[in-house]
Amino acid sequence: MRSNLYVLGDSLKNYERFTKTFFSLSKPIIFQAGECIVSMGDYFSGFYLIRSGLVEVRYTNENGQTKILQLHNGPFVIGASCIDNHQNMLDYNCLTPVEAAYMPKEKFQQWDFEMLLDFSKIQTDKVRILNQQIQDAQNYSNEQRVLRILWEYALTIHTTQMVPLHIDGLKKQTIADLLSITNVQLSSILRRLEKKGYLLSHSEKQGITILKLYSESETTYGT
Amino acid sequence: MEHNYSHFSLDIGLADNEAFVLAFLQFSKVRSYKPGSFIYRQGIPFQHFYLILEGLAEIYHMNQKGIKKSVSIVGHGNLMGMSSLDNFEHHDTVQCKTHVLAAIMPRENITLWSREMLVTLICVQTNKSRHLLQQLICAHTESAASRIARLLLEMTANSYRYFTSLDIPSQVTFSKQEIAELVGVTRERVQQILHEMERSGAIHLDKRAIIYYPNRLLQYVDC
Repeated sequence: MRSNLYVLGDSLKNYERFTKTFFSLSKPIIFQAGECIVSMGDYFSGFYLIRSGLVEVRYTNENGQTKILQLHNGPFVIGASCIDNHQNMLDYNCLTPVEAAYMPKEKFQQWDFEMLLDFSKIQTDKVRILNQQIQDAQNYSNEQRVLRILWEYALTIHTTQMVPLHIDGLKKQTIADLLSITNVQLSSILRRLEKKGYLLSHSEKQGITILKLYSESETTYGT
Repeated sequence: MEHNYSHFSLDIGLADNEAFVLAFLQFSKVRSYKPGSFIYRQGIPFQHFYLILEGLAEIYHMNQKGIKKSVSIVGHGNLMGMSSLDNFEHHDTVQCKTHVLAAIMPRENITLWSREMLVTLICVQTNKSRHLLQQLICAHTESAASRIARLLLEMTANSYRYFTSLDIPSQVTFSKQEIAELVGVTRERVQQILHEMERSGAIHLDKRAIIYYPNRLLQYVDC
């Protein structure tokens, strides 16, 4: 089974030592829902380790077209661009209150070999996920990808994978922006999934109930 | 914003980092590959890092239906195999398009690396993420003609920014099918766009060879 591509849970679960050392070199910081951690075009002054909260990663082009690349609903780290002083390419917007830890870039000099090795693995994970997301867009239908996003989101908020799974707090606009489709197209896809028995209901207020998951035997989803 | 990254030929900046390349060579063996031979294949566990010193290779992925999808073309200065650190399997196949000279390093040798080498590795991975992000973003906002123009320009220079003269014609050899796979459109659409470009004087088609004028082709690049 592949790892999550669109809604990422705990990206640091295999890096306990890294997380511990990071906290010892950083100070806590709280962001309110609606705040932007770092904006597109800004330079990172250090690293942020997001401990909890829902964060969207959004890109907007010169014509105002916008796309959400990922949602993070669990620990992750950003700010590697402060090492080589590159402009940040994305907006990191808090959709809920977010608990984070901030480490100024000067502290990077104090990272030991293990810490650097872990961080290079974390960056490699990011490359792998982006690579798979590109391939996903080429290989799978929007219908398959909508169900995939719902399922990934459910996995970040539920401890069980047993259906039915109920999810709320995920706006239709967010799903549409993740896939670069319109709200109308999304509604039509959700209706089709409901007819096929994958979803029980879908409404902004009551949330979405997933009745059935895509399994690799049923579809070609998953590589 | 300064994100003028190449998309199809992943120039990640190591070509100019002589110190890293020399240090990498200390821990690796140099091997020559013939055109058509494989550097690594999809599904086989990663054991090594690969640094391409000379030549071009194609990265592609085979989906469950056995359909081949080209991902990118890699050349001088490209470092691959970082997933060996996490015991992942190769997600893609890398096949040589020309003679390729590569330095191959067993993954356990990373423990012998200096701090500077690890920092370079982190920067390489961060830079790769930027390339992939740009590719992902452009897949949604860039026209097919722009993607084809970019592909042609990037194949002869690591990035079209590095052309010494935009007025001197250049040449690449590609089948329409290869272009279609790389940019993610149909073969028929590629043919249509190439004929439009030929009519405008940006390119000249000579069997499989495409002769093009960089300054005229740049007009098609819109992302």
